[in-house]
Amino acid sequence: MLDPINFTNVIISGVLTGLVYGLMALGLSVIFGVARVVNFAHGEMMTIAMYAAVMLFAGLKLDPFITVIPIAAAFCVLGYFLQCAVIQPFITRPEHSQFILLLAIAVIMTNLLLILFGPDARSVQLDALLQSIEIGPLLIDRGKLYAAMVAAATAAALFGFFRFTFTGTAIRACADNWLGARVVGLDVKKLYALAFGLGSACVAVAGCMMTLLVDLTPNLGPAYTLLAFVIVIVGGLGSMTGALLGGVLIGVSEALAGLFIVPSAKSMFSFALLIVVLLFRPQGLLGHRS
Amino acid sequence: MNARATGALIALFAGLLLLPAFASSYVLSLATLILLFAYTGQAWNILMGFAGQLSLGHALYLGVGGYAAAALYFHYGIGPWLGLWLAIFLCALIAAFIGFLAFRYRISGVYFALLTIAFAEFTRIGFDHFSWVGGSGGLFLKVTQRESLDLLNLRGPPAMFYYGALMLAGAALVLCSWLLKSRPGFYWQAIREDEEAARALGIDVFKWKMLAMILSAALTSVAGVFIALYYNNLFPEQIFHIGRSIEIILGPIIGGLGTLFGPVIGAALLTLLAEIATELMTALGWQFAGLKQLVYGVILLFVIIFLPHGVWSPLARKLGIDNVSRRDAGAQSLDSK
Amino acid sequence: MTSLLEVKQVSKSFRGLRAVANVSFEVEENAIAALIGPNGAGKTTLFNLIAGALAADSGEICFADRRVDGLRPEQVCAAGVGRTFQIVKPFAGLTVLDNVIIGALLRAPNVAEARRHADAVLQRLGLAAKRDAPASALTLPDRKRLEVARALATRPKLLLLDEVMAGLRPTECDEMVDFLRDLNQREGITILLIEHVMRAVMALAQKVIVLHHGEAIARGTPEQVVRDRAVIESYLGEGGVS
Repeated sequence: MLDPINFTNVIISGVLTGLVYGLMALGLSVIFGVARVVNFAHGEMMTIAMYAAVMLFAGLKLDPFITVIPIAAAFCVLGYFLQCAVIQPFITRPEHSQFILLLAIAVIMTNLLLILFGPDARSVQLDALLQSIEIGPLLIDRGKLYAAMVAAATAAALFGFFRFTFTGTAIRACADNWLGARVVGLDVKKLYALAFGLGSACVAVAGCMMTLLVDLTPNLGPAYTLLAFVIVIVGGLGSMTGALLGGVLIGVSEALAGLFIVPSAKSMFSFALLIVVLLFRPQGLLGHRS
Repeated sequence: MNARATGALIALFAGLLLLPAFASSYVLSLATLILLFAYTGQAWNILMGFAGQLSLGHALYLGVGGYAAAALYFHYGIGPWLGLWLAIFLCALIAAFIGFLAFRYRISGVYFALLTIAFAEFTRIGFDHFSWVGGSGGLFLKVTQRESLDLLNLRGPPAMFYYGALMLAGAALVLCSWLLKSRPGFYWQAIREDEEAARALGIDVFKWKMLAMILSAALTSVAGVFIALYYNNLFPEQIFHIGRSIEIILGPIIGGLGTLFGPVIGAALLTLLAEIATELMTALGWQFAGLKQLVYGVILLFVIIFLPHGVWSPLARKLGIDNVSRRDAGAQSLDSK
Repeated sequence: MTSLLEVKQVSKSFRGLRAVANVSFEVEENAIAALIGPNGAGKTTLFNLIAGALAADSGEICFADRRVDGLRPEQVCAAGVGRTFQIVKPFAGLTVLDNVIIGALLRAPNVAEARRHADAVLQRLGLAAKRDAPASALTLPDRKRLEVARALATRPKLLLLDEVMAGLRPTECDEMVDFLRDLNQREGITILLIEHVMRAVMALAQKVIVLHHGEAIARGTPEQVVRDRAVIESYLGEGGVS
C-alpha cells in the first residue's frame, strides 16, 4: 500500500481531480464571495450541468469537451437571470432567508432531476480516454488529465478576466465595497448578476469535466454543495487562488484517505476539516479576516 | 387567548382524541406523521424561532436518539422507556459539544448552519460504517405482535403510536407556550433580535444559547426514538440524511418561525398538500420517486418569497383568533431586521 | 465624594490606530459627567471599554471599587452599569413592554415582577401608552426613550448614555434633560454621557472630559472646559457654545 509509485499515482490523481473540484469551488467563491449569495444549490447546478453533458453525449454523440462551451454559455445566461429575477430581492433580507431560498431551489432541482432521469447511474465513456498515459513508472488517467487541463484553463481565463478587464475590476470593486461602487456609478445589480452568471459558468465547466471522472446520479447535488463550501472555507473566502488551492488540497486528501481508510469514508475527512477550519481559522488558508 | 381561539383549540383536541375511532388506517398514519412533524418542528423552533440559531443538521439528533434506543433494545432487550434516557443524554451531550465549539468561537449565521450540516453528514457516514448497529445495511427491530398492546416495550397497534405522537405534540405545544412567557423565552428572543443589546442588559448569551441547543436536541432525540419504534428499522442514509433536517425545518418556516402554532399549522399544511399532490399524480398515472420532496421544495419556495412571516399570522388574523398570535411576542419573520 | 467609576491610563488600539490613548478620569457617585470631543475622538470606544464590549490593551477600569476591565459585557451590566448605544438597538420584533421586561429580568425574581417594574419605567419615560406597540414602529425619539428605559430597568448605579440627544428637537431634548436630572437627583443614579449637543452638556454635567484623537485634553466644570484653549481649537470653535 505504501509503495512510492502507487502513492505518487494516487497523489497525481488527487491533484487532477482536485483541480476540477477547485473550479467548482471557484464558481462558489465568485458567487458567495462576490455576489454574496449563499448558494446552497451549487452542487445541484453542477449536477444539472453533468446531466446536460451526459444527455448530449448520449443523444448527439458529442463529447463533453465540445458541449462544455454551449453548456457553460447557457449556464451563464441562466445564472444571470436567476440572480436578477429571484435572488436579487433577497440581498437585503437576512442571511437565513436567502439560505432557505436557495435550499428550496436546490430541493426542487434535485427532485426534478430524479423525476426526469430516474435514480440509475449514468456516465460518459469516451474510447479515446481509455488508455492511460505512462510517464516512466507513473500511470496517469487520460480523462482526469484532460479534465484537469480544461479546469485549469477555465480558472486561468477567469483570473484573467478579473485582473485585466474593466468589468472584472468593477465586479471586484463591488465585492470590496458595495456602497462605494454605487457612489462611483457602477451598476451594482448588473454586476452582481454577471458575477452569478460567471460563477454558474464555472460550475457548468466543472460539471462537464466531472462526467469524465464519476458516475452520475441525481443525488450528487448536496454532497457537491457541501464539498464546495468546505473548499471555499478551507481555502479562504474571498480568495480565488484559495478556492483552487483548497480544491487540490481536498482532492489529494480524499485520494489519500481513500488509500488509507475505507474509501466510502473519505468525505468524513472533508467534513472534519470543515469543522476544524470553521472553528480555528474561519478565514481559511488564504482568506482575509473581515 | 380569546374565546374563539380557546373554543377552536378545545374542539380540535377533542377531534384529535377521537380520530382513531373513525379514521381509516391511511388517515391515521397521515395524522401520526403530521403530529410527529409538528413535534420536531416545535423542538427545532426553540433553537431557531426563539433563539435565532439556524441549525440544518437536526437529523443528527433523530438518528443518534433513534439508534441509541434501538441498539439497546436490539442487543440487550432493554425497553425503550430506558433507552429514551440514553437517547436524550447522548443528544444533549452532542449538542452541548457542538454548541460549545460554535458559540465559544463565535460561529453564527450561515457558518453555524454549515457546521451543523457538517456534523450531521460526518455522523451519517460514520454510522454507515458502524457495524454494531448494522452499518449501511440498517438496523431492524423485531416486529412482534402488532395487535396487542405492549406499553412496556412500546410495541402495539398504529393507534398506540398515534396517541404517542399526539401526546408528544401536545406536550411540546404546552412547553413552548410556557417558555415563550417565561424568562428563557424572553432571553432567547432578545438574543435572536440583537445579541449585543442582550449582553448589555446582563444576559449571558453563551449560556442561554447552549440551553436552547441542548433542549432542542433533547426533544428531537425523543422523536428519533419514536421513529425507530414506529418504522422498526433505521438506515443511516435515511435518518441522518440532510433531507430529514430539511423536513424538520419546513413546518416552522411555512407556519411561522417563533410563533406557537406555526410549526403545527405548517406541518399539517405541508403533509396534506404533499399527500394531495401525490394522490393527484398517481390518479393521473404518474408515479415518481421524489415527487413529494419536489412538492415540499415548491411550497417552501412559495412561502419564502411571498409569505416570509409564515402562513400562521395572516391566517390567524383572518380567522379572528388573532390574540393568540399577538401573545407569541411578535412573530419572527425571515424578512425584517 | 467617592468615585464610582475610575478609568486609569486606559489605552486601546485597532491595528496600529490608537483609538484611546492613556485616558484617565473619575466620575463621582451621584454625579453627572459628560464626555465630549470631535467625531472619531474615541468616546464610544471608551464606553465600549467601560461596558466590557471591548478589552483594553492596557490600564484599569474600576467600578464601585471593583476592577471591571476584562469582564464580559453581561458581567459589567450585572455589576450595575447600564448602557445605551449610539445607534439604537431595539429588539425590533418585540413589543415596547417586552423590550423593557427583558431589561427588568436582570434583577427581578420572576416575570410578573419584571413586568411590574417595566410598566413603572415606561410610565416614567412617557412610553406607557405605547407599551403594546412593536418596537419597530416607534419614531426615533421614542426609540431613544425605549433604549434608556431598557437600560434603566436593569436598576443600574451608573448609566452610560451614548448621544442620547442626537436627533431630538430642542423641546424633546429639554424633556430628556429634565428626566435625566430627575433620575440623578431622586434616585441617585450616576450618569456619564457622550454628547455633541452642548445645550444638554451645559445643562446637566457637573464635570466634563474632553477627548481628542484618543487623548483626554481637558477636564473640569463645563464653564472651565468651554473656555479651554485646546478645546476651542480642536472642537468647539471660536463661535462659543449656544
